[in-house]
Amino acid sequence: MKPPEIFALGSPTVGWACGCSRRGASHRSGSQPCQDAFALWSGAIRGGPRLVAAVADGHGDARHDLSDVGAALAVQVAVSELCSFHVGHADPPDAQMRRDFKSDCPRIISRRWREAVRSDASERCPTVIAPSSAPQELATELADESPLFRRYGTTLLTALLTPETLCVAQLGDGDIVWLRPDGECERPFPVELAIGTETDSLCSPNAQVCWKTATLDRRAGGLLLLTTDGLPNSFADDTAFDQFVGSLRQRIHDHGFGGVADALPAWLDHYSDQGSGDDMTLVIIEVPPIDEHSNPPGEQ
Amino acid sequence: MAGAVTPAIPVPEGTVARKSLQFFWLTDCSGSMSGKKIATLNQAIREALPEIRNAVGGHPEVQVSMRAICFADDAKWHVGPKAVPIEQFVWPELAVAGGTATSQAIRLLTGELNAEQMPRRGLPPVCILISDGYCTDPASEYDAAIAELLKQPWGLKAVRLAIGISDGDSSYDEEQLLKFVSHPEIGVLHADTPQKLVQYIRWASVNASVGASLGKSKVGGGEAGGANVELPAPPSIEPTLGTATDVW
Repeated sequence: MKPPEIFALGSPTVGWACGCSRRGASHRSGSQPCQDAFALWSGAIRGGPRLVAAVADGHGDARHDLSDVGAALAVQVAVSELCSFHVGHADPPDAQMRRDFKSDCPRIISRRWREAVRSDASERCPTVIAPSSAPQELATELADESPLFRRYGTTLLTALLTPETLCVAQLGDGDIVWLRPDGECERPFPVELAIGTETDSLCSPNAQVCWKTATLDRRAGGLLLLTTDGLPNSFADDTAFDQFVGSLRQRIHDHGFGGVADALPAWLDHYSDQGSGDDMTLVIIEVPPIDEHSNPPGEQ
Repeated sequence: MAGAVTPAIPVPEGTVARKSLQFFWLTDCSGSMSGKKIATLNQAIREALPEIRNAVGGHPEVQVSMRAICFADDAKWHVGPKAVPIEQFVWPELAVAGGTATSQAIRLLTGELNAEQMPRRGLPPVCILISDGYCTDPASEYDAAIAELLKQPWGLKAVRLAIGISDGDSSYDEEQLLKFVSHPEIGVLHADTPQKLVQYIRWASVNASVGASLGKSKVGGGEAGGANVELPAPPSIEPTLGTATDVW
């Protein structure tokens, strides 16, 4: 059964999230699949509400012919690992969790993604990575794994929310934007010059050191966006994209979170048709302010 | 609720734009380009324009904007510095006189490829240099201009191709032009007949535009290797004997 394109979930203390992936205009005309993916999870870990989000953009180039699968694996792995990671950090304050998020998550997610790729490849074509009996041949096999990972190449953006903490991480292109209540758009990872075709990737040999991580001050609440680069690339410049983000918050205010979630497929198609032509994925998380009286924040 | 009709919510604000591809011609209009060379160049670029439009028409998500720098004793804008959408671009007739200030042309290009002038997001620019002679600026100045160009991220990632025009009496400095080229496997396209100049201008402009338009993500940091944009091999052009247009 085809999975639904829109999800909306969350809780009053952590926030509400929805997401949508759409095949880009250029992919529709070329009969290519959507190579983006996203995953959301909301629930309780040791009694505390949590929300996890992940967005991935498969590279799409001919050398990355399984990148749609790579993107799907990446978001599954990220959500799974961030939930597991948080099991060990469920008691506030979250200072230790933030440190561990920075030091451990990139390494663990990168490793798990490679394991998932090996597993997928072995199901598709067991001879591709059939284990070798001879040690010297095994060494050759491992050295030759980069072409396999390259076929699944993808970016990955993640967010982990607790009632006290908001951690984000990014590998490769795409945007994470935090719209504060004062209307200012904060980019935890300022976008470097984006010249067309190159990005860091989970398939990079040094993927674990290409990650960027940050903790955002969520005390006053805000709107968090995770998006593949197809959407920001459809705007004239960052100012125009910031205008989109501010306008999006107004749409949520006017029409409700559910109304905006329902509108996302048509909006993303519009931006792809009129703009970059790329696949597009947008995850929106509306983060409520912390109630200082009932739930004191941890160290920020 | 299943089957419920959601009232249309207006699309959020923000100016939408297609991906930007900046195209630069750098054309030699020194005295040695007089006669058939400049006439062929003028005509060849005019004939290439509709072909570029048709080729990038398959990529409606891309907006190609074009400019042209000409150089003789100095370098100046032939069309520009404001970029013109390819749909409205017209090639004005080039006149010839003077030396070959190639390095000044490259510096003029570099000034437009710096981060302040270019959009922060976009496709690799396309730069096509056409010359028939040795740069008359000092050699150190030419090398410095190339170094400055390659210091700019947009300059480094640009598709940079060069067409060298030669005849029996004079030629270009291949080693010099090669320093400009982004694709060493293609090298300098050697146009020793009008027919080759026409075909190389068409091939370079169309294929560089299409290649840069693809904009497929690939892994950075040297993982992918090779040039920023993949190009096919240039055409092998057989001479057409017995016509009035096969020699300069």
